[in-house]
Amino acid sequence: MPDGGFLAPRARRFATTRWSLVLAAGQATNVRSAEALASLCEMYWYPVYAFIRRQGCRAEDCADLTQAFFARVLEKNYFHDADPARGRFRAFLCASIRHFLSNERDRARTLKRGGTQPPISLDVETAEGTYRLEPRDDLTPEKLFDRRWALILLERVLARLRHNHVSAGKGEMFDRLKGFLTGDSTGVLYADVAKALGMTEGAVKVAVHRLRRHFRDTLIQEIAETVSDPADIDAEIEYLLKAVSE
Amino acid sequence: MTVSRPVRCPRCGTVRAAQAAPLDLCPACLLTTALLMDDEPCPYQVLAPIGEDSSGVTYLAQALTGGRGYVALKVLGPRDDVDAVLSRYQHWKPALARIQHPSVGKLLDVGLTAEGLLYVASEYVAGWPLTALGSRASMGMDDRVEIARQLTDAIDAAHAAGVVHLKLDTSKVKISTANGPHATILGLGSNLIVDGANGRPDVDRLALARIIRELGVEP
Repeated sequence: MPDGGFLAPRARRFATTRWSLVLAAGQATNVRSAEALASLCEMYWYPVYAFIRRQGCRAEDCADLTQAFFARVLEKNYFHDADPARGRFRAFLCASIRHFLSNERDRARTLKRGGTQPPISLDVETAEGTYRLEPRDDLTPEKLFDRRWALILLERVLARLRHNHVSAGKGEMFDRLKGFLTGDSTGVLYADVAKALGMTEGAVKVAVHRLRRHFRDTLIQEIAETVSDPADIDAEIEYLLKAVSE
Repeated sequence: MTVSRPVRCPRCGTVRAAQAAPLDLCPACLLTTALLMDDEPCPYQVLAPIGEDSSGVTYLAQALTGGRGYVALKVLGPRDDVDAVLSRYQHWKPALARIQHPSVGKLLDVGLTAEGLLYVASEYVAGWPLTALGSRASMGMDDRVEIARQLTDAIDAAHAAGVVHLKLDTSKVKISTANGPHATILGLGSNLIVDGANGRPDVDRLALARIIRELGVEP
């Protein structure tokens, strides 16, 4: 029997998400807010790398510039200036790169000389390998940044979902059902999946519905980590949808 | 330099790089799915189970928003025809809304729980089922006649709105006597929506005649 949990409204726990924590700390950064910011940077460094590369920076300089940029972001007084883009970490980071590249390229040289410890772990080989696979299209650095941001976010969400299913002994179910996360007409029939999993077709449909809801909730949790106001979550999803659709 | 081969999503037409990301699903469709999911698919809080049959479990529940008070929330087992049921609900909703009779228990809502199970929310009606009539011999003939009159009026009101019950029997009638005899017909519209049944009003009239005879009242 359901215990009522499936009927309860979805609670959006928001007060302690990473970006709101960073903004709340302001200049009076503390250990928690510093760790929150560092972990956000660790998650989303590749869009920054791709942005700088798309600006025309050579591969051998891009890693240094990326590290220099994050060193600047992680400085305690970085939030001194009021910035209208601060409400969303993505917009803040994108605006900050532009500002950084126009003013502070020399910091990269300092890093390159070994004057500063790299602030985040950056897998340059993987980054450059991924960048070399980017389509050679007309995307601006900003649009490439947003698109890569959206893809990293979705990869994180799917990885979390898969991890949860594998932990529950449902790894095969996840692998067979994940195609339904993009809709029903994927060429895979519910009946075929039901047969493979030893379930009824109705039970598979319920499982798909549950997976989609789990996906949405996880996506919202991940986005919530990067915005300061829960009212921005749906707008952020729409923004990212536009970014990957262009 | 290796250049990735672009892939076009067959569903939305979005073009994406095939090799630049480990993501093997269309990102545009993934985000669209998330946007289309309802936030609160089932706005009721379960309080206690009050019944069970082969098709599902009925709970006493309370609406989380609005002023509907208590509802009888029937949660159906997994089904293959969820979309068809929801479609039939939209079809019958206007006709059901036209029935304004105190002896018709209102069907309030049909939807999906967070798990994707169909639910049917109906007005919760306190009282005892008419099947228990035999153990309640204290009900006088005047009250029985009044009950028969109410049931007849209610069925006429439903038929006037274009709605048939098709499964009317004493188990679908609730009786209360707190403020005088009062009968309420349960499940009106449910068979049409959940089972996709159809039939003529004659079926209800025959069933009503049987119930009235069981009441000991001449039809």
